[in-house]
Amino acid sequence: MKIGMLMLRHPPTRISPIMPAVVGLLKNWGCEVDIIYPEEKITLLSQVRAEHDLYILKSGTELALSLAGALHAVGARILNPYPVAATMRDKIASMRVLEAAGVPVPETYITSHARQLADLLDAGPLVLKPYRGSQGRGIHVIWDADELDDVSAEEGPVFAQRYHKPEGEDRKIYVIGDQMFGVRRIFPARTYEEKIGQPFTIDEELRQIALRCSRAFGVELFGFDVIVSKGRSYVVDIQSFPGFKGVPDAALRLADYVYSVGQRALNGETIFGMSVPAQGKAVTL
Amino acid sequence: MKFHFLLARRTPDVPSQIILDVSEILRRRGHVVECSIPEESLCALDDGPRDPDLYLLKSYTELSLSLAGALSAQGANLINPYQGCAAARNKIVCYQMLRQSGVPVPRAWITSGLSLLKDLLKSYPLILKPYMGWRGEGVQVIRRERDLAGLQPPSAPLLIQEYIENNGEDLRLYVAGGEVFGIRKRFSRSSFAVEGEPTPVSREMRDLALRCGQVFGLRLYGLDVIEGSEGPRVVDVNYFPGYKGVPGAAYAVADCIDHHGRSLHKGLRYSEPVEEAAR
Amino acid sequence: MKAVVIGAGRIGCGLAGQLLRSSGYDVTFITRNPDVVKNLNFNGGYQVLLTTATECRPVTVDGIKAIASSDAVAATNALTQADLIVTAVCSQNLPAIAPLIAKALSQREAPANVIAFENMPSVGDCLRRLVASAMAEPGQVDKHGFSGAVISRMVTRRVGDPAGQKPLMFVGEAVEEFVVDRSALCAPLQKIRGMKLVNDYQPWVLQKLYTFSAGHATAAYLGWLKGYHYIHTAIHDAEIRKAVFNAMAEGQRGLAAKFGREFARGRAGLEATVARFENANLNDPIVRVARDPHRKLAADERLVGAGRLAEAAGVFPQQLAMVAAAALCFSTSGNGKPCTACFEQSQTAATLNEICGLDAAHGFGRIVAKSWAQLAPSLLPGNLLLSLNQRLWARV
Repeated sequence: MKIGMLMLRHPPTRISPIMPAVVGLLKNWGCEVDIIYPEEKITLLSQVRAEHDLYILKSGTELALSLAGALHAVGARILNPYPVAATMRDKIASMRVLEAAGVPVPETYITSHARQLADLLDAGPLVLKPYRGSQGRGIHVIWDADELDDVSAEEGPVFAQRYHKPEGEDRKIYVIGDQMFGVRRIFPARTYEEKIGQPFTIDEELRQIALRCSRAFGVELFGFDVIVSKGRSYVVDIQSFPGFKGVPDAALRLADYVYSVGQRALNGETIFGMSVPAQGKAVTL
Repeated sequence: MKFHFLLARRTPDVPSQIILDVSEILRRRGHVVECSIPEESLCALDDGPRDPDLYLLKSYTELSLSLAGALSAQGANLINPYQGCAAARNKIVCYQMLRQSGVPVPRAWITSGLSLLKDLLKSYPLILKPYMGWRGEGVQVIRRERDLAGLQPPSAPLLIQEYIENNGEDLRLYVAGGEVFGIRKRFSRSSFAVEGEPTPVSREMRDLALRCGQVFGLRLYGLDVIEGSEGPRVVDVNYFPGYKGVPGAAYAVADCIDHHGRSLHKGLRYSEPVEEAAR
Repeated sequence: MKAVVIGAGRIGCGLAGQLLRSSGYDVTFITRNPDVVKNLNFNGGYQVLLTTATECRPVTVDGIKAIASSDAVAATNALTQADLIVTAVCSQNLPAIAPLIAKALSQREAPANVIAFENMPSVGDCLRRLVASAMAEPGQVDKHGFSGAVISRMVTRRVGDPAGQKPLMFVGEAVEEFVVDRSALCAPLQKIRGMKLVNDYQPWVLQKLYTFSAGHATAAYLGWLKGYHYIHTAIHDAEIRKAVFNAMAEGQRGLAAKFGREFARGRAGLEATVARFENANLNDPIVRVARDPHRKLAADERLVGAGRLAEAAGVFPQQLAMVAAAALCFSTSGNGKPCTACFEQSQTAATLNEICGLDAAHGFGRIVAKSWAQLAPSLLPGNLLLSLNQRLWARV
C-alpha cells in the first residue's frame, strides 16, 4: 500500500510525536509512506497524478491545500477530501454548513469593518476570529465597542460569534472513522500536560452533534470544539485533520484507521460511504 | 422572480456596466433585482429563509466567495455553483481541472519559493501568478534568472506557467449560457480594464470555451486563450466576468439568468444549452 | 502417492495442499464451489504467499486437480484410490462430508488414513464417529485411521476471483509444522513436509489452543472492544499486548501443571507467538478472528478450557475470564441493541451454562460472570473501551 502524506516541516523544537509515530507504524506494517513537503519543491502540474493508493492532507498551508486540489482533480483518493478540507478552512462557509445540518452554533456574523459590530455588543460580548485562522491564533473576546478600533482592518474579513461564557474546561471532540473521543482542556493551556488534556466520556447529545457534523461534511476524520454555556452546547470551530492530542493511543488508532481506509481503496471499495472516483478520471468539485 | 447580485466595491464607485444593463433588462421583464456588497454589510449567517430565487456572485473577494459557500450550504441557488466558482478561483485547482478534462493548457508548476525557479528559466520564459490573484494583480513575466532578483518573496503560493510567445494579442472568450463571444486585445498589465475588439469565434474556439464551462459547471464565465505556435492554450478561467466590449452581452447574460431562474421556479431541470452544444 | 484434500479453502490449499505437493504427493481437491473447481483445473494450480513480518515469498503449487463434490462418482472414485485423505472444511461442515468419506471407505479393500486439518479438540474421534454412523456396517470404520492435525500456520486470506481466470492466491505464514496423532493412524504415512508424528496427541492440541489460540482470541476480542480493525494493530496497544501475554501465561501454567514444563514453552515461546501477531502481511481483520464466538467459548476451548485448566492448577485466571467476557459481549452485540439489554442477571447464569458449560456461582464461571457484568453495561453500539485498566469508555 502506497501512502502519500502532505506535511509541513515543523521546527525540531516543536513536540508533535503523533504523526511520526503514525508513519512509523504504517511502515512497520509494510506500507510505503512518502512524506511530501509541498513548500520544499517545485511541482510540475502535468506530472501530478495519483501515484499513491491514498493521500493524507496533514499540512494546512495554502500550497498543500492547492496541491491536494490538484490531486483531487486527477482522481486521487484523499483521506480528508480536498473540497471538505477547503471548506473547513473557511470558518464562514463551515459554520453555515454546520448550522444547516442542525448543529448548534453560536450566532455568527461576518463583516469587513469591525466597527459595524458595535450595535451587536449591546446584546453581549462577541468573539472575533480571523476567518482562516487555526489553533486559536488571533482570537479576541470583545466586550466594549472601543475595543473594535484595535481590530486591524487589513487582515481581511472579520468573523464574529456571540460569546458564550464557557462553563468548565474546553471540550474537543475528535472523530476517527466511526469512533469518537472527547478531550477536555484548560484554555489557555500553560503546560504540555494541560495542552494534552484529559479524556472524557461523550454523552448522547455530543454524540448526536458529532454524527451531524460528520454527515454535514461527508467525512469521518475531523475534530471540533465545543463550549458548554448555561447548559447548552455550542460548536465553535471544526478542523480537518486536527492534532488528536489527548486521545488515548492516538497514533495507533490513526494508523489503524489509515490502514483500513487504504485497504478499502486498494480493493476499489468505497471510502467513507462516498464512491471513490476511478483512477485518472476528472471529478467535478 | 427575485435576483440578488453579490458585488464588490469598485473604484470609481459605480457598478460595472454589465450589471447596470443586465439589471435594467431583468427589471423591464418584471423581475426584482437587488444587490449587496458583502464587505459593507453585516451578514448574520443564521438568518431565516432566503427570499431571492437566484444569487449572482459578481465579486472575487474572499468574503463574498465564503458567503456564497454559506448561502449554498443553506440551499440557496447560485447562477454559477459555489464549488465551481471556488475551484476556478484557485488558479492551481483551476489549471489542474482543465488539464484533467483534456483542455489544452501550458506547462505549469506550483511552488512558494522563487529560488526554485532558476533551473526552469534555463528552459522556458515564465509567467508568475499568485494562486488566488485576479484582474492580473501580481502577475509577472520572467525571462532570465536576474529578473528574479527584483521580486518580493511571494506571500502566497504561485502558479507558474510557461510564458508562450505569441503576437502579443490575447484572445478572451466570454460565455453566457450557450453563447460564446470573442474579444482580442493587446496584453498589458492593465489589460483587464481595456476594451478590445470583437472577433469572430471559430467552431474550435467555441467548443473549447464550452468545455471549460462544463469542467466547473459555470454558466456565466470568461476565459483567456493564448494562441502560440503549438495551438491554443487556455491560461485562465473567470466566473462572471465584465463582458467588456462584447456587443449585446447584456441581453445574453440577462437571458441566461432569466432562463435559469425560470427553470428553478418551475422546479424543472434546466436543459443546459451548454451541454447540448458540447455533445 | 495420492492424496485427496476435501475442502479447497484457506487451510486446504494454503497449508495441506502446498505441503503435500512439495512432499511429492499427487493432490486432488474436492470442493463444493464449482468456480473454484474450474479455476484450479484451468490453471492446474494456485499460489501461496508465505509471509513473516518482514518478508513475503510466493510459492506456486502446480500439477493439482479438482473435483466438484456434486460429482459424486468422481469424488468417490478419487477417495477410493487415495493413499491419504485430508479434510479442511471447518469442523462444523464435517457432518456434511462424512457420508462421502463413508461411501468411499466402504468400497475400499486397503485401509486409509484420514487426517482432519480442523481446529478442534478430538476431531479425529469425532470424524470417526460421524463416518461410522454413515456406514451400512459401522464396524467397517475400524480398519481405517483417523487423526486430527494441530496446525501452526495461519492462512488468513484468499486473493483473487474464483470465477476469473487468474490463479488464486492464499496468504499465510511461512511456518510449516503440524502435529499428527501417530497412535490413531492405521498404517505408516509417507513423510509429509512439516509433519510431526506424536504418540501423546492431546497435550499438543491443548498447547496450541490454550496458548496460541487463547492469545489470538485475546488480541481479537479486546481489540474489538478498543475499536481496532486488525490483529497487527491491536497487538501494538500496550494494554492489549500485556493482556495477550497474561492470557497465554495463564494457559501455560495450567498446561505445565497438567502435562509438565516441556509443554509450556515459557516466555520465549510467548514472545515468538506475539511476534506472529505483529505480521501485517497477514492483514488479518479482527472480525475474522473474532467470529464464531460460541464455538470459541465452548467448555474445552481456548478461553474457557484454558481458564478451567489454570484454575485446576491453582492459578487465578483473571485475564482469560476477562477475554471470555469480552467474547460474550461480542456474541451478544451486532443486533443493534446495547449489550445491557441482553445482559440481565437472570439470564447470565443460563447463558454461561449453555455456551461455556460454566457455573456462574463458582470458580472460573464466577470470575467470567463478574467481568461480563463490568463490561456489558457500557457496551452501547459504537461505544469503545479507551482503557482496559482504567475502564474508561468513549461514551457514557
